[in-house]
Amino acid sequence: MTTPPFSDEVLVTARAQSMELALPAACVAGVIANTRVLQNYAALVRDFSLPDTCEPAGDYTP
Amino acid sequence: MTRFASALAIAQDIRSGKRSASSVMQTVLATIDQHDSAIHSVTHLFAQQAMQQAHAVDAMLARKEALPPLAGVPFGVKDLFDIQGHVTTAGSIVLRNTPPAAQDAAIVARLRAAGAIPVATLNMDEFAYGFATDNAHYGITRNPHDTSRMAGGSSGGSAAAVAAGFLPLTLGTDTNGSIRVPASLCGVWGLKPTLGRLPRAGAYPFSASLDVVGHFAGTLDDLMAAFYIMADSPVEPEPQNLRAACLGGWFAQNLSPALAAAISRVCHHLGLSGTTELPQTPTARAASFLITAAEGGTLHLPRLRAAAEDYDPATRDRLLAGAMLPASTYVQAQRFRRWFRQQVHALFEQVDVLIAPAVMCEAPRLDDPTIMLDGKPASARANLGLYTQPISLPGLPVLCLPLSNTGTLPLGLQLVAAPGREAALFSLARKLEHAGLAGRCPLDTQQAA
Repeated sequence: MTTPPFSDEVLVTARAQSMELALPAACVAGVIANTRVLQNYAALVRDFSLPDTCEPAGDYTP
Repeated sequence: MTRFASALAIAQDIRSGKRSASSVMQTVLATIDQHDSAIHSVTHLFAQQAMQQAHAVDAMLARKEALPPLAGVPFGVKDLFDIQGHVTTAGSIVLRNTPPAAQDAAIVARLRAAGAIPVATLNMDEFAYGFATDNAHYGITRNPHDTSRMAGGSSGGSAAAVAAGFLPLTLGTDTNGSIRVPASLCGVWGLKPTLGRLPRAGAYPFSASLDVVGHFAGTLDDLMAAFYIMADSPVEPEPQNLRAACLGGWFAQNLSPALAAAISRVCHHLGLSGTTELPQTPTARAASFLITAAEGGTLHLPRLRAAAEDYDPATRDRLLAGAMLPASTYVQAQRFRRWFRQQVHALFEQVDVLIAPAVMCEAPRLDDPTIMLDGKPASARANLGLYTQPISLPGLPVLCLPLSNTGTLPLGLQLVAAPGREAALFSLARKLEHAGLAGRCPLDTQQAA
């Protein structure tokens, strides 16, 4: 995984602010820890090359 | 004797007049009252209503009316299924002020129409997000085989209630392994049907892309009978001459010696040599994890904004992190899911049933919740779904069977089929049961007393 150019706390705070989400102080450490886990998983998915024709597996039927 | 009796045996005894439905219900309620304090599987008892319904079954029999197939059979539901008139809490206090359910969940209604009687709601991880059934609001469900150990989750109360012999049949849900993990650790039969085969109406959601409703039973026959009733479909013939294959690679790593030996016995009995691999298994697990986090987080975000402090802190932090995942990550995970589905379907052109471990070892201790991964201790709660999460992604039907005679606490095996082919799972499970390789793990004498 590529090392982010800023700390996980800055990342989590910025994401929360972008959603107008006020993170209670008691949540911050836990959210950072879980975000790290998700980033590792996200890297696996991101790095897997897919053809442009591969559509998301949504099941919406009009 | 009602404790540990199968659903079909109870129904037969009531139909034949050998026992009344009310005496069965009295015994069930007394057994739970006497023994559940050590296990803590039940969160709410419908004692009065259950007795009334049992009396109604007895009255039908007295009038010589035909009884439906599960008349008088007690069952329990994970605490996220709607029961008419009862507030569905989904293992949380966040929903405690919501109105009572106006009607039963769809599969509860189908079981009730078949004569079965809901007796209890059963403990779970808050909002089904976990593998431990360690609930900050309602307590920890303990493994009936060894109360110092985890029951697994998130449908841990449902698995434990069957393992303890309180109820012959219970309902659960499985998003990433929440039926299969506790079924494995508690030594009972569990079924995660094909995604969409059973209606989810009235089951509180977690991850809409992956949620599946299913059930636990003490016998394979009960598991099958309840499945066809809940699917509202006729019993399908069990196909013979199935082509089976054991999954290797990811699924052959980190197995306890006892589990590796048990799988070897199964493969030997079936005449299997060599293994088959699921492609990109770690990425499949990752995609399933990400989809769950994003969908669960998004579902709860409005309530998290308003009342984050009401959540179990562990659930709250997972949901918040999931709610903040970038859209591109979620969409990419869903694109990978499409690709993975194609690979899996291609695999099922060569084979009918895949065999894989359910959990890598016996139930971890509650005071040392670790498992060994690559020779190092790792968090059990984060990794009990190691073998179930990748298989969740394509929405395949999975039967989790209890392995027999392992000389250990319970160990489980996943049988996996192509979508809609539950009958193939039942057929292979039956073969293994007849060979003495699968069957409910009995409690030792002291725990069953």
